[in-house]
Amino acid sequence: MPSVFVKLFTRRVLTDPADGRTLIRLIGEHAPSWLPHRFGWSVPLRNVFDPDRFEEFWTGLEYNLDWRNAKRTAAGHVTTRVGPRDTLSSVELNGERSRALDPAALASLVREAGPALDLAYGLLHMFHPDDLFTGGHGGHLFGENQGTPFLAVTERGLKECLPDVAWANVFGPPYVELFGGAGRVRSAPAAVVTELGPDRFYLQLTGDLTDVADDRAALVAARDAVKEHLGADCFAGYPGPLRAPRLPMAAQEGLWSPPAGFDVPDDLREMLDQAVREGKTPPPPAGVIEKGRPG
Amino acid sequence: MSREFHLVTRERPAGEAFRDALGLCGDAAGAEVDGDFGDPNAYLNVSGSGLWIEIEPPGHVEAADLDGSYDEDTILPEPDGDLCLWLTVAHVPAGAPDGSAGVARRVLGELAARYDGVAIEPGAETGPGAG
Repeated sequence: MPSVFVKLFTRRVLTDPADGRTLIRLIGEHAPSWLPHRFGWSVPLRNVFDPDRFEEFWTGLEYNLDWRNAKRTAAGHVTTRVGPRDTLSSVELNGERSRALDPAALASLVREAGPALDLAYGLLHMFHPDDLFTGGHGGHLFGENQGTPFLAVTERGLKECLPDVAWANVFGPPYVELFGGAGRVRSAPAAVVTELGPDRFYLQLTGDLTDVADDRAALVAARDAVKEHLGADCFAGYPGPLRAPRLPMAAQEGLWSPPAGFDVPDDLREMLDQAVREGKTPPPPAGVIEKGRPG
Repeated sequence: MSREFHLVTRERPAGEAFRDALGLCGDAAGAEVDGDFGDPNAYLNVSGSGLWIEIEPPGHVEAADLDGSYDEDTILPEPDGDLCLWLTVAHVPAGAPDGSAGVARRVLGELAARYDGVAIEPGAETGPGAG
């Protein structure tokens, strides 16, 4: 059962194999036991991962990409922002706690992914039942499906607010702006605050990931203090109106074209027209891409 | 409601055998096959008059990944030397023409017989070699 979760959100589309190579390099450097062994876009996974045939692995992204490690103790999932209203692509990694997994190295993975994948937001957390959406404190990092925890941090949810402060967090430019600027984030009362680049920070609540379970009082105190410092109204559970970055949607950025015969709603039509006016070239409609793809 | 049919074999079913099996179904006469049965990552559509089936062509999956997928009366073939089996999946979406599910069941059943495999309708398993 997975208990350690990483999720990385970026405005990049992530279909570029260079992004995939960066991601796999980071996993190989920091969490090699989580490297892919089998991959595919449906389960059971149909392909064996071969680094020498990397593009074959990453082009699965046209539909979806799932993988798992050889020991069946870790999994990865990539979602690209291919829908018209999508604002962020994401990568989720999760796995069991094991001796082969170094929590500090996972933190390095998340931290280095910040600039390398141009993260808008990233997190690392360990499952704890108090962090379920039923936990009562308003945060909702996790859900549970028949006893199996899953990370409940979604692109759609981020349009409303952040779910909580995780043990480790990367906040990119949209969030740094939301919180009031770099100065505000730099002075956050977290155990580790590292400036990763212009308007991009790594915040870690306590010294060790296992504090999520083993020193709950310290984790909760740091979490609540950081939330208050950054702006409680940016996080789930705040009783008043919530705030979140307003990121451009794929249709606005010329990243989406309606499939043939699709009845385009007025707001999407407006976004498409605006993208064209701004000189953006939308991709061919879905279906044409597949037929035009080299074998 | 959509329906799904699985074929599990030790050997990889050939595209020619798939077309032969389709040809044996009277209801599939003149069906058009769009896609490559040899590409495990492709999606293949079978369409025609009163017919719509979406097929995931044979994929070489680890036999252990199929553990618990079917009821205990379903006996899968012995895995190959890589401890893998070939899984083919036919989806009949909700709203597909009425005869589609019957054709999917017969085609996968025919291939199961030819390759000494097992055709399964998950949730309504009928045992080894069924179809």
